[in-house]
Amino acid sequence: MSSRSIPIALYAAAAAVALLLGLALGGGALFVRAASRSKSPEIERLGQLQQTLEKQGQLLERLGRERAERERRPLEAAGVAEPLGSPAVAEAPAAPSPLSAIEAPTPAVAEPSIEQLELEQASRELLEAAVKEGAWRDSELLQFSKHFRRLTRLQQAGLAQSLSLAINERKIRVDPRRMPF
Amino acid sequence: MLSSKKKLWLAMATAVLAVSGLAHAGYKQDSQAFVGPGFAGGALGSIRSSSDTLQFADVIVRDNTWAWLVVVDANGEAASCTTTDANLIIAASAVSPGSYIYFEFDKHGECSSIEVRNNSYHTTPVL
Repeated sequence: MSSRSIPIALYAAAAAVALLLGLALGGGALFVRAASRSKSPEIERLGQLQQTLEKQGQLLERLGRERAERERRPLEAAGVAEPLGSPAVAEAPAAPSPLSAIEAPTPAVAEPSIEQLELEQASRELLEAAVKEGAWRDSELLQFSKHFRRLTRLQQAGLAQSLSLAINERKIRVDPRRMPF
Repeated sequence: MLSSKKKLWLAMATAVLAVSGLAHAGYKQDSQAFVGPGFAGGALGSIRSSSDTLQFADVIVRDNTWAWLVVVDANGEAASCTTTDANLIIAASAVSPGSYIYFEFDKHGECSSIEVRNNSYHTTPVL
């Protein structure tokens, strides 16, 4: 190989790398632009699933907080534990997470699968439709019951609570002949 | 003057009435369904035996992971709550056909208290 041919090969290689990088960047930018311009149904579905997961997380966190609070109250009354925010608690070792507080007594609670999250979303939509109507339609009730049986216990509890709330707010009639679960 | 046969029949009838009266003796309490702001309850036997067709109560405990309670009173007013609290689930699990139930709930529809009374004076449901 001559001394002149080495720089030419180097230039060629550098140019090839630059070209490849440019193509990759350009392609990525085009993809991002296309994705942001029109959301595909899959992306929308993922967004909905993310929202559902966030709601589940919030529910878990709230349930855990409330349980921890309930468990703490008798101890405080007995003088075993100091109220939250006191120096003793601040120096205490890290408390169990809210999730562990509600997971411990309910081993049957499992993480919902993607399918179960979708079923929960569908069930919520059916419940919302029933609330809008003020009562269950036959088809909605049947579908809701079918979905409900396939959900995790925690998902079921969340839906049951939503139904309780709707009943208490007089948004839906409750009829023993038409019980959703 | 009554014949001896008639006297026998009279004695038997009196005995039957006396025995049937004894069978229903003892203190009894009627507790129809009631619904108020943040609470509801009633005795399942009284609710079942009520003359209207609106009242009902339902307690569901699912695999000891959650419980759901609902009561509808004679006016059709309803109240319901759900819980995942282990202690409240234990309370809900104690409900039997002759129980008296009382529950309280918060604005989120979550049970804050469940009371179950199993006693002699709340009548069992008449089937």
